[in-house]
Amino acid sequence: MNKRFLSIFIAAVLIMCVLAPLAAQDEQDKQGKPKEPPPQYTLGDQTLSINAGLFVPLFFLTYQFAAASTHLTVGGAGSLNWMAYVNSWLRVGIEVGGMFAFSPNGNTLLSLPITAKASYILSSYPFEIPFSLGVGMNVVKYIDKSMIDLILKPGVSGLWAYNASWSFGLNATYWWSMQFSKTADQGRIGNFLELSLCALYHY
Amino acid sequence: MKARIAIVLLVMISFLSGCPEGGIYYTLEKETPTTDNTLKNGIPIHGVAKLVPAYYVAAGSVWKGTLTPAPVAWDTSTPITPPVDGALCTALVAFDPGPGLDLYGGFITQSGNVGLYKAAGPSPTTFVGGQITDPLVVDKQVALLEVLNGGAELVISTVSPGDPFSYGLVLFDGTTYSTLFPDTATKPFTGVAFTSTPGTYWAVSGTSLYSGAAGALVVEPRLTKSATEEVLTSVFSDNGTRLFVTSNLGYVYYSADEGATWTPNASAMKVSDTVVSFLTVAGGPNQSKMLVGSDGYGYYVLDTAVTPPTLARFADSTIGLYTASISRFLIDENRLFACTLKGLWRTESFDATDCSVESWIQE
Repeated sequence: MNKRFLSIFIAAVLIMCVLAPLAAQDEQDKQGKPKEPPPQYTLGDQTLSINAGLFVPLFFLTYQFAAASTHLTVGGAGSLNWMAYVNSWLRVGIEVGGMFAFSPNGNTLLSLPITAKASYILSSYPFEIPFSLGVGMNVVKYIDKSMIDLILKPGVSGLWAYNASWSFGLNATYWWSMQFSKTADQGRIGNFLELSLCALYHY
Repeated sequence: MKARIAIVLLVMISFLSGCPEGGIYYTLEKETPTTDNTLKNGIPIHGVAKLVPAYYVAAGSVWKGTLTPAPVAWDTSTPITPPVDGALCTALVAFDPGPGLDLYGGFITQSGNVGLYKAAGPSPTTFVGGQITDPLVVDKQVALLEVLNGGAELVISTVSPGDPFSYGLVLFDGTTYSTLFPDTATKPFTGVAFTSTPGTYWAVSGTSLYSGAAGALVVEPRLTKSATEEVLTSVFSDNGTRLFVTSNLGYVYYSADEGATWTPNASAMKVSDTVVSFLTVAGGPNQSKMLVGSDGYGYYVLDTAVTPPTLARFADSTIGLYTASISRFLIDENRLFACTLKGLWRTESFDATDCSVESWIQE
């Protein structure tokens, strides 16, 4: 029941993210407004973004670089992100996210990554391609176990600027979550992929 | 510089949070799906009994599982016919009053008590017409059925109607029903056991442990509990000499000398500061390690080879049994059943010497 509800919820969020800018564009065309000039962001400009999408478990890696199955289902992931422009092509900030996925016996894996993030931005108005790297901690909970991992999140986004304030697009983010164990051969690196839709607000 | 310090701190935190029994990803990597057979999982299991070549389980109705060909296969289309339509089985055992094993079950309906019924073996199909009409049990609800004294006696924990209810024990030796404890207890009897010299019955009801000859059970003074309000939940004897008493405050009291002296585990068993309530004990005769079922924390292995005895929780946290409430076990050679509030679990690889298992199946 929970799985079905979460799946429907994620699907609804994704559909809304896709349809919202299209509907807004239709409205703009109908009103015949003139196109805005390309925005120029500078030091002090900030962004807030919300991201929601799929969490794809890839594989676990031992510290001897042997790969193994995660046995996890495809799950859901989402995040909130605040960033500030250092200059027109670099912004830095912080991201708080979350994910869930299910094990073969129906147990839920939960993660809460909190990362410092930097994005290098390639722009060709109205499109923007930020290349990002997040570094931080990942609070992981599974049944009665909780751990804090070191996480690296490299990623790339494709954004379309609807106007000077709003951009919409797609993120592809790799999760590299390093988990250590006091038993030497039981440490694992989690390799996951987040595919999410993004709504980004400039202010 | 500050970024480097932050990363070093993160790495240190990650190391410090490492689980000694293996990390979460390691646990996931090793997790295998539990086999789930055809019995419904959401139903409390009130007993499982064996009449060769089949098992019978009280899961709402009483269902039959065949032993051959292995593995156990449950006929979930046709239950053993209950005494009245819609009756639910609250207790189930196999007992031999001569000349062979029969099924005994206590039944209730939504409108009230139905009573104690027998389904004649060796291959019972119905409880209809099998009501036990002895005056000691006929109008009483059955809270517990237990076979004692090497299979020679059946004990029935009864609930008598009234306001308030009263509780007692009835003994059946295959021929005659007699009073083991009169209907005067204010709490239900949740466990009963027998030790052989000189023939002593043990029973727990609420906060009290009773012992004595049939019809003359008195509060046992030699057991010192951790607190006066401690509820005793079960009593078990594996060989007619050793005794185990479980409590709701995280203790298992162990006696190797028929109740003369008792040794509990060193301190109340807790999980994340929550005291574990234990419900039942089972195990092979004279084994140093015994199974202890708990309310919501699966089962523990009690090691009596050390003093005081130690308890170790079943370690596989990835299956539902880890957080199950286990009210009864049935051990049949290397086959072990666990009756839980949410279905029946079975393993085909139980080793009574160390209580080890290889894998659990949800029936």
